[in-house]
Amino acid sequence: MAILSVFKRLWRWLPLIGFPLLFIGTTVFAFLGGLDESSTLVQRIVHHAALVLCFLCLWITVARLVHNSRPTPVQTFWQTILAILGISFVAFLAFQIQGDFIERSVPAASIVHIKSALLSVLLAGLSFFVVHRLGRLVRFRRTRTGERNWRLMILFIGVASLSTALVHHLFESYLPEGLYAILPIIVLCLTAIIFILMNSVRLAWIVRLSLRGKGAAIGLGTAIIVLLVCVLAALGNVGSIVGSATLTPPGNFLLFYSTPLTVVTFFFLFFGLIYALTSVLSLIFHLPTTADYRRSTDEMVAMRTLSGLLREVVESEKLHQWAVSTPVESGHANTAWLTVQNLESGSLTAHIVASRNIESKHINELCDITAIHNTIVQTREPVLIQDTLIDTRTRKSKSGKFESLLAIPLSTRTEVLAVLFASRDVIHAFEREDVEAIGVFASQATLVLENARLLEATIERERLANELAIARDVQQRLLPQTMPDLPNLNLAASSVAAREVGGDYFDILELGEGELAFIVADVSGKGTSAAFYMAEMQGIFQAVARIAPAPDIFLGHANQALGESLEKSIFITAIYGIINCQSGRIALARAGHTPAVLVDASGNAKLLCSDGLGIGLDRGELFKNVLEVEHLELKPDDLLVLYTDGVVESRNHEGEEFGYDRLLQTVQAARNEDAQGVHDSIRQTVDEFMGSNKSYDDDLTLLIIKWHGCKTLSSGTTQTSLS
Amino acid sequence: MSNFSVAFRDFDIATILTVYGELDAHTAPELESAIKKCVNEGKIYLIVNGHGLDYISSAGLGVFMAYIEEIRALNGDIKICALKPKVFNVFDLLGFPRIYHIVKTEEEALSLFNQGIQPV
Repeated sequence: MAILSVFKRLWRWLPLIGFPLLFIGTTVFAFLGGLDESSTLVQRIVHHAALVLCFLCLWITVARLVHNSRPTPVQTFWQTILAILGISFVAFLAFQIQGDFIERSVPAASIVHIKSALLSVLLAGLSFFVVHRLGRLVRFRRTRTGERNWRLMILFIGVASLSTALVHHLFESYLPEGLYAILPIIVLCLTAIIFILMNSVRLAWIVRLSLRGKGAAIGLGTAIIVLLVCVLAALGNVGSIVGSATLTPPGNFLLFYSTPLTVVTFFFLFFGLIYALTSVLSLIFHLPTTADYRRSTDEMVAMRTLSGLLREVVESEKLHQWAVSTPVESGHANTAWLTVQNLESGSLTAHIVASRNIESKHINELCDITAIHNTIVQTREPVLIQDTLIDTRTRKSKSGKFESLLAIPLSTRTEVLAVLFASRDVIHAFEREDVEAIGVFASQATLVLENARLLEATIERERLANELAIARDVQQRLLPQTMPDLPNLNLAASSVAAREVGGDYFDILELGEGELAFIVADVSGKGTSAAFYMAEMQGIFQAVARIAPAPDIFLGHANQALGESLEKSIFITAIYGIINCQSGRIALARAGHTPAVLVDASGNAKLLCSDGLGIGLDRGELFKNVLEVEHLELKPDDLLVLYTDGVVESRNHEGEEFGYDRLLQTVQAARNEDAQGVHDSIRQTVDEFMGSNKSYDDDLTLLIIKWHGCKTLSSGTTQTSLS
Repeated sequence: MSNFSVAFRDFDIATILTVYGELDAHTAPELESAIKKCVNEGKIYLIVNGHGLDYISSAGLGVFMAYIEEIRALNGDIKICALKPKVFNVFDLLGFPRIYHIVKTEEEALSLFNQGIQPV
């Protein structure tokens, strides 16, 4: 591992150190005499290998220099131009160094070696920079084949140029004359050119440019073309053609320094020229598509905004505004608005909830939104009016802004939530793509709207559930929490609501003088409305029973009081009584309620069916006239069971009712237990009867009174009877 | 789910509403709208034939209360006939026989109309 890290560190510094060392070494070597006719093949190979290594180091150094920055295409072009200008200027200065060839390959002075070395390194460096810099653009959105082609281009340029060295510098004298010798080189060069052309058409970066960027890139690309043509021309013999024929062209200095390097430099600069050329041409051709590309980018941005909206809770106004803004902002429409059906009015008119670039009153002048909306609600298909003059539902505007119209439903599986209208200022403006794109917005908007609605509904449901839970607690507190501990008798009671709140009521009240008032009542129907009347009943019981405890008087008052507030179709049945805790005497009245069950110690059971109307059935005298008060005296161990119809009307799976017979049997069977025992027994039997159908259909209330009898009195009676 | 239905039939001066199935909180609005329809059409001599009625809950009983005042104010009435014993028992417990004529047959109900006898 240590070796590896040392190697890595060396690798980092090697090119940077290797390049100047090798460059200076080879230049000094050439300056001192260098190779000549007498040099051996080994000497030649070593010299050229050193040169290859030297420029490989330069290549790597330039690659690293360029690697870290990621400029935009326009910046890349700028950098390339500056590099060409700067290096060309330095090269021009170097070219001014006095010294020339006597004839080709024969320098007049040693300084020519340095001059040629300087020119070579400058131009090679420039070509390396150009390739690396433009290579970034070539490899924009990299693909495997793209990478492969790029590397093969570099490889073939390298191999082609090295092969020229073999011919030119090393084995010149050993090779046969003629075409055979250079044929492989030509093949290699052609291959390199093919790869140059292949890489020159990789221009994916162009589409993303804005119109301004494209314009800039065209200008700069043209400048690069001009500059590279100049550089290449200057390298060759063009200068002599122009007139300064006395000077040796700069290209000769490069060739003198190293043939393969010259070839590489030429190829790289050539690639730069070709790439700049294809870029400029392609940029020109892409100019018209810029707007379309921008539009699709805007669509993507709009979609992203939407997915942002999806994640947060938004008010529907914001969503509506988004839905009408998107088609306009993405360039698919000039104006847009959104309509929903007016639910409050009951009639099927549509109204505008959001609009963009147009006012609601103008929309109503221009088109019959209700007609179009209702058509879409029925068909669930978009409506496309390519010319607003022709359709009966639309009118042209004077301003000429309203020429074609598209209406797309925002529909869920079950209903049309809204309709999105989009209009353009020319006829036949909506192409299939526009319809599809706006359709996509509409479906996305539907998703968001539906989402928001569901969320709202969930929150509302939770709120209602909370309210009902509170109502249930309140209602539970209206019922007695504990049963009073009384001499001679024993009480048990419970009430279960079918829903959160119910209409059943039971209560007891100690009146003083050993008397106890008790009531079981049932408001017709169930749920919230019943719960309110139950609460009213509770108030009446607690207030009236104290001052008018007699059953007929109390129920008469209750009927009068409730008659005012009860809905016509609602009535309350009640069974009310007072018991004397000393004597066991009971006065009981039944206002339409299910009859109380009386079971004595020996198991005789009967239903106490005294006459009486339900509270609220008659608001006049009839109620009082009909009501009958039953007087009875309890014997020890007598059971009085009061209940609501929820008990006898509980049903099992077959739809069979629990009924009076089962109730009587249950009470008879449990008659030896105390009140709580009888209560539990009834509840258990009802539950068993209902089986797994556990949820009660109706509210279910039980009140059990078990009379133990007045112990002292009863023993006294026994004694008297015995004596 | 709803196993309740109402059939209309004219019978002399009266209109007979024959009810079938179970009359509870869910089905009560059907009978209520049926009665409302009759009242709106000026049919105020109504006979509810309950021979097909299997069950009635307190909410079902409430329907009879909803329009009775209005109908009686117009000198009409709702008469109930042919109830099954079990269903009659529910009416009876509540004291309905004191407020409504509950009779055995449609003919009896009709003759009560013809004689102009009001229950209360």
